[in-house]
Amino acid sequence: MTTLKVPGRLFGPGLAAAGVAVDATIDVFSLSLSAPDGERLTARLDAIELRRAGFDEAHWQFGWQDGERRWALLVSDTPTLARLEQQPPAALRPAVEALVGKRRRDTRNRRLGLSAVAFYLALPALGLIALLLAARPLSGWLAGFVSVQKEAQLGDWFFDQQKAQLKLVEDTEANRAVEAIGQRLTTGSAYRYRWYVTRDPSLNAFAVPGGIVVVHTGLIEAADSADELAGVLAHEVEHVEQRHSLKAMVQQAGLRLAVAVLIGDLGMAGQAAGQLSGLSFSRDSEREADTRGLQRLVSAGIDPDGMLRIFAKLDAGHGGQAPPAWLSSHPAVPERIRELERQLADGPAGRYRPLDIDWNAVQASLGS
Amino acid sequence: MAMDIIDYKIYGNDMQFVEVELDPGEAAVGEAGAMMFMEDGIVMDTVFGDGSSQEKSFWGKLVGAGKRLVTGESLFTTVFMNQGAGKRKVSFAAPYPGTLIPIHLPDVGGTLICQKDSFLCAAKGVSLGIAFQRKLGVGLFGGEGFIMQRLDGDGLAFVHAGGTLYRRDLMPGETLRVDTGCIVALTQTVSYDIQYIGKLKSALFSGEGLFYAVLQGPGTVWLQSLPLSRMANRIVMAAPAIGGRSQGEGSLLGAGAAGGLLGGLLGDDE
Repeated sequence: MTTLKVPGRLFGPGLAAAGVAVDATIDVFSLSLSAPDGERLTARLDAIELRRAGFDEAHWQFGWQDGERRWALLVSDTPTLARLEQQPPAALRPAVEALVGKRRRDTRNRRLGLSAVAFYLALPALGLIALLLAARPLSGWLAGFVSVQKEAQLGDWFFDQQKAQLKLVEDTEANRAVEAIGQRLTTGSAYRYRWYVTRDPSLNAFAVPGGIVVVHTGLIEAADSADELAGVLAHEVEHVEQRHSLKAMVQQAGLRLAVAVLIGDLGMAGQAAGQLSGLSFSRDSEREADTRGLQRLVSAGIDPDGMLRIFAKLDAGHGGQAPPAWLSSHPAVPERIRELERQLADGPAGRYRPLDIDWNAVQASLGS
Repeated sequence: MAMDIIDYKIYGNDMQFVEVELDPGEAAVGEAGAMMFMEDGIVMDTVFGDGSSQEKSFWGKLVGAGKRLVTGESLFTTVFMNQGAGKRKVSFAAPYPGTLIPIHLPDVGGTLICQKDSFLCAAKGVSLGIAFQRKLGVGLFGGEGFIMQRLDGDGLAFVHAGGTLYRRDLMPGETLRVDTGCIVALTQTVSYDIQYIGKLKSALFSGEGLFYAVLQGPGTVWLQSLPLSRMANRIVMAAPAIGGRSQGEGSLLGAGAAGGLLGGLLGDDE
């Protein structure tokens, strides 16, 4: 390259503020141009200060000092700039390399900055996703702060409200059987269990936080032995022991709070009260109650086969219809039975002591 | 691009309007809602986009209109064309107290970058685009946001901003530190950056914010002495109806309800 013609705008003393269009020439040693008044301006290339200029930094500014006068040539012609960038004259090379390096750094910093801003804007959404993913361990951890006494109080309050709708059966052979099986299952528990039987033909039983277990008479009538009832009780006891209700409550309240923080208040207080009674256990909770219930039966010396039988009965009993409430959340009953069978096969064979209960007397005592 | 050369006259001191004289067949584009009056023979037409070129494809117009929307202008511009026989006048008024300046685009290198929403009117043919601020820090803290308006063409454009407008020509390398928010317009060759104010104490208590805007020449900048938001803030602070103080209206009894009441009884001139 011998000489390069550089179209640009010249700024300097005595010139218009918007600059004057000129054609400069860059050769091996210098940049030269004719000022509008005819004066010949020349600057040595190694004395030129080169930087990007302008609102969008699209211009290259060649600046030089000429005595007291300071001149600047602004070039925005793309082909010329590309040519200068690729094949700069040797004397201009350090300045061009510095400019290109700075441009690269600026671009990188801008990307970093934009990513940071994007991250900041996306933070609430990310937080919500993280919260949803961690909801279960988090609610378990939070539930750990609630004492057993508090939980029992909560359960009592809840049960008192429900009591009016239940037709409790008292002082029958069935009550004593439920109590006896329950005692055997919950030996050494931190909870003080209370056992109730309610007159209701549906195949159901439910647990209230703090140790209240309610069995429907329909379940006792459908069960063919005390072992089968024990299977259901073990499942319900695990809902209590694993504090599933409490965790579900904490989880719901927490999620509602998170949503309220992110999106705005959606009448939280009113909804929270309404939701208490509608609590249902998650699929994971049900599975956990199954697995641990099975273990509980084994360690209490009760034949876990009863649990499988009552599950099968429930499945068959209302073939195709909706499963009863205590089995309602999703894992399909056959799937749960298979899972339990697998676990039973894997576990060590237990030594079982039969339950000392006259099952016929129990069923007869309900006198349906 | 065929530009219309227009004659104009600016009226008023602090709340100005500009009267533009159009020869037969000439046209001016105005910001929607800025028109104050027009004489017989001037026909108003609303066009989608900036009206700078009628040959653009529909898609091109749509993009142009979208750009206008981003810069705070409306989707449509109004074109005022003189279809009469002689010279006719149309006038455009500034929307709030401030100064109106005519800028002849060829004098500033053909392109002017200005504050959002500062465009008032121009000769037909001036195109309105956006100038996107590529520097993140300047966009966030420079006081003008990421989007500014870009006026291109070789005609006359009128720009309006609050308070008094000050034009400053910057020599190569000359820098000016400006309170963020006071920049109205700059030519394309001016570098616009921000600078941390320097001391934590100043940043917190000087009332100037955390950053200066730094403008470096060569080129020309226009600054406003009173950004609208600053005036609006003072007005709101002083508005009694929304809990402000009746500042500067104190009678002998002082400011407040009593003063206001007495003032109302004694000196209601309406």
